[in-house]
Amino acid sequence: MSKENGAVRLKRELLVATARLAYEGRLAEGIDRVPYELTSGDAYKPSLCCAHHDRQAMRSRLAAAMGFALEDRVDDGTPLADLARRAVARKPGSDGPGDPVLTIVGEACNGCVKSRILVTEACQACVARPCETMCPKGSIKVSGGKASIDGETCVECGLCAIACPFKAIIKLQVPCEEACPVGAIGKGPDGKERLDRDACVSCGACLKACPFGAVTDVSRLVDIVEAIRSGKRVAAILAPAVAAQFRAPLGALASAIRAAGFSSIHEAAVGADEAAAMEAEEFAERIGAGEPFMTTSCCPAFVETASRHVPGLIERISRTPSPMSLAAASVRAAEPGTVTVFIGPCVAKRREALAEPAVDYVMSAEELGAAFVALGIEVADAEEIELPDQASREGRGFAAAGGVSAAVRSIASAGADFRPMLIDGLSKESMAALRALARGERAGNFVEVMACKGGCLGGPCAIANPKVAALQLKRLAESSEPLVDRHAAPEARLEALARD
Amino acid sequence: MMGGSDLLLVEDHLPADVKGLVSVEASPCLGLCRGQGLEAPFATVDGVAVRRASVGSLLDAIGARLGETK
Repeated sequence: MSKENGAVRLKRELLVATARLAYEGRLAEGIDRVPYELTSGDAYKPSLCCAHHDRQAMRSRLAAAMGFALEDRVDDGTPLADLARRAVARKPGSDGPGDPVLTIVGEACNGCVKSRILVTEACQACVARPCETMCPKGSIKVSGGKASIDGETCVECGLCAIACPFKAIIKLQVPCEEACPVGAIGKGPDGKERLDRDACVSCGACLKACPFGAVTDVSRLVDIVEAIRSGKRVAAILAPAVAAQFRAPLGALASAIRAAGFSSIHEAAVGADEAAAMEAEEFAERIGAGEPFMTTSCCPAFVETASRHVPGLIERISRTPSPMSLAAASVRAAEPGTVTVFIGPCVAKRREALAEPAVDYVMSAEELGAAFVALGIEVADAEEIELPDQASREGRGFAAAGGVSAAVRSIASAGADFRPMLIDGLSKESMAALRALARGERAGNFVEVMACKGGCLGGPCAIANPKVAALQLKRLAESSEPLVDRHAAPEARLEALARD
Repeated sequence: MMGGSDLLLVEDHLPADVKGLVSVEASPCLGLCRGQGLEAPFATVDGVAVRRASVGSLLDAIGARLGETK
């Protein structure tokens, strides 16, 4: 689904409204008015059945925007202002590692028709009947001038739909269930979707896929703004994928972030430089010791996937901390007492941060954009500032699929048997590839896994079209110093020069 | 922020016969979204604002404008 859609715009309008009220210190005062303001005026057209339904769903979305998982919320008429007061008073570190990072807006969930194969009116009951011929279960029969499917025996393989020359057979899908790579979302007794928290890997695929915007992330925007407003020093640790979301130089984005109240801005890609060096060393050690392959560790949704669904891969995951962890540890050491905020397009980083003491909060690219809109900050107009540490070309390249392999390859030891394999996006198909890897079937010895197609640029909370963001990232990377000039041993530098 | 990023791809979708007649410029802010809840993103075609702009609606607006000028 395109990033340009009404559900995404509605979520962002509500984030902007939340950010504006939070920065103005009027969250409790103004939050209950927001659904009414957005559903009034001549231009308003209901998204759901009517304004009342829209407002009800908006109230739940606003609760999630203020940091409340909706599964825990009972709609008993409590005003949003009460939640706002609780959000403002919430202390850092009050989240536990098991706390939800994704939640379902029940009022917005359509309770889509259960996934099945459907014969439409376009069926001509033709003589050839390839649907009947192709069906491996004998579940399709033509009678009374139309084909019909026996739902009891149909296995939804879709061969009949492929075979039909009139395209008269379709597969009805539940988009969130279809997108989830691990089967963690399914219908509850009321027909609405539920997240299985034990199975969910927080990849955010369901959030991206739902055309009703019924899956959303649990935001910590209010907590971050409150830390800024209370005069604390708040450091931003900026993922390279976020630098690619705005059509402006990195220095201008850093300046805009400062204008939004952050006291210092750091590139997570500096942590990626460190991670690449550590992974190159670890790779050499492990392959040297006879291990068949090593996987990357920077994508938290993949690490969760392996832990919960492909245990055979756990021992193959690199022990190198993620770029976020490394960058945050460095900021924490340099600026003790500062509140650290990782800014990225990822939902799974929220979960990773719950278990990472060096990261206080995660802010999504959407939330950063909302803060800019709320404060009237134009990134492109911001005066450029210098960042304390500049990351390398390859460190910044971590944001795109294949970037980690490229970084490690650039500094791998001379003569290393480096055979990269990329799993670009978690899906039901790529889950099969991961299971095959765990069984020993493999096509490489350095396996980079990115939960989002295209890498972090394709994250569920990215703002820019991934194609546009990829161009912006390329520009940023091309203006950066190569990693090999910083970290590599002399022989690797020579090898890299020869390769170039 | 409100879906305008996809609009930059409109150039890729222009029909061959009008490609040379249209220039697409990215603009950080047109100043039209404020106070216009749920109406973003905006774009302008020859100075005329298009609300809830999409690649499709921009192609329509460009086609209509070119039709007027022919």
